Amino acid sequence: MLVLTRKLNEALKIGDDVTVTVLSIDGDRIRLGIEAPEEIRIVRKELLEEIEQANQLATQSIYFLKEWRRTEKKYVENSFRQLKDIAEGREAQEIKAQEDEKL
Amino acid sequence: MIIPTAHFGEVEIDEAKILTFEDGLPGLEEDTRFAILSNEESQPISWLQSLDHPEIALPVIDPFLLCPDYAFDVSDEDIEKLDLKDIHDAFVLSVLVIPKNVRDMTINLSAPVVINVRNGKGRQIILDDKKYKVRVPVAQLLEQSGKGGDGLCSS
Repeated sequence: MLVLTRKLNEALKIGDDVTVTVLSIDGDRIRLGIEAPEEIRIVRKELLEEIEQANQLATQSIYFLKEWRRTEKKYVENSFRQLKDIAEGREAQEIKAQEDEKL
Repeated sequence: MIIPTAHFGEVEIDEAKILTFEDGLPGLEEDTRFAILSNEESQPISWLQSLDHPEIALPVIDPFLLCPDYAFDVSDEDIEKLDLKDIHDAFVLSVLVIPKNVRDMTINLSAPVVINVRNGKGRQIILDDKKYKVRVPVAQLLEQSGKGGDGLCSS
């Protein structure tokens, strides 16, 4: 890993197109300004890791399907019914809105 | 065409309905082809089934059911990659995590799946917005639904 020391308001360039500037330092919080082309995705590393982890956990969901149908049947049925009711309620609203528009 | 799945057996799907995620999903970069399977028993939760790995299926739901005021910007980069010409062609789903205890089910509001219904291109986009979290408890959202507002959706 390349290690550089920068002071407040100093910057560094990564390649030709990316500039990172130290905007402020307050204890252990450092504000960085990043100038980069649109196609370069900039994302907080821990957020990306959290999303990766959530997706991997999501793939395990199906394995619990059978189990929760058995042990939490009532809760699952109620939750799903509630969601369905919301979905149907909204659909009805949309149909009504479309009909109102026609009139 | 018939696709093999580990959990739903062999499923027949319309070839036109195959979704292409050029970059895969975060954490699942090798899976680039998916189909949405609707399973009567789990409605309104559908499954984003990988065509590359039969054992990979993620539960997904229309986030607006739980968060009617959910709103986000799509970056120019994502619009370009999806070749999205009209915002009305965008179809949005959120990935759920259903853990061992179903009461701890969470919805990912920080990274919605956006699909261009015109060309079947999909991307899980990462919102540059701290108010939407990756693991929002569904039970709490259900509890507040119907009571007006969706304060728990964002923080």
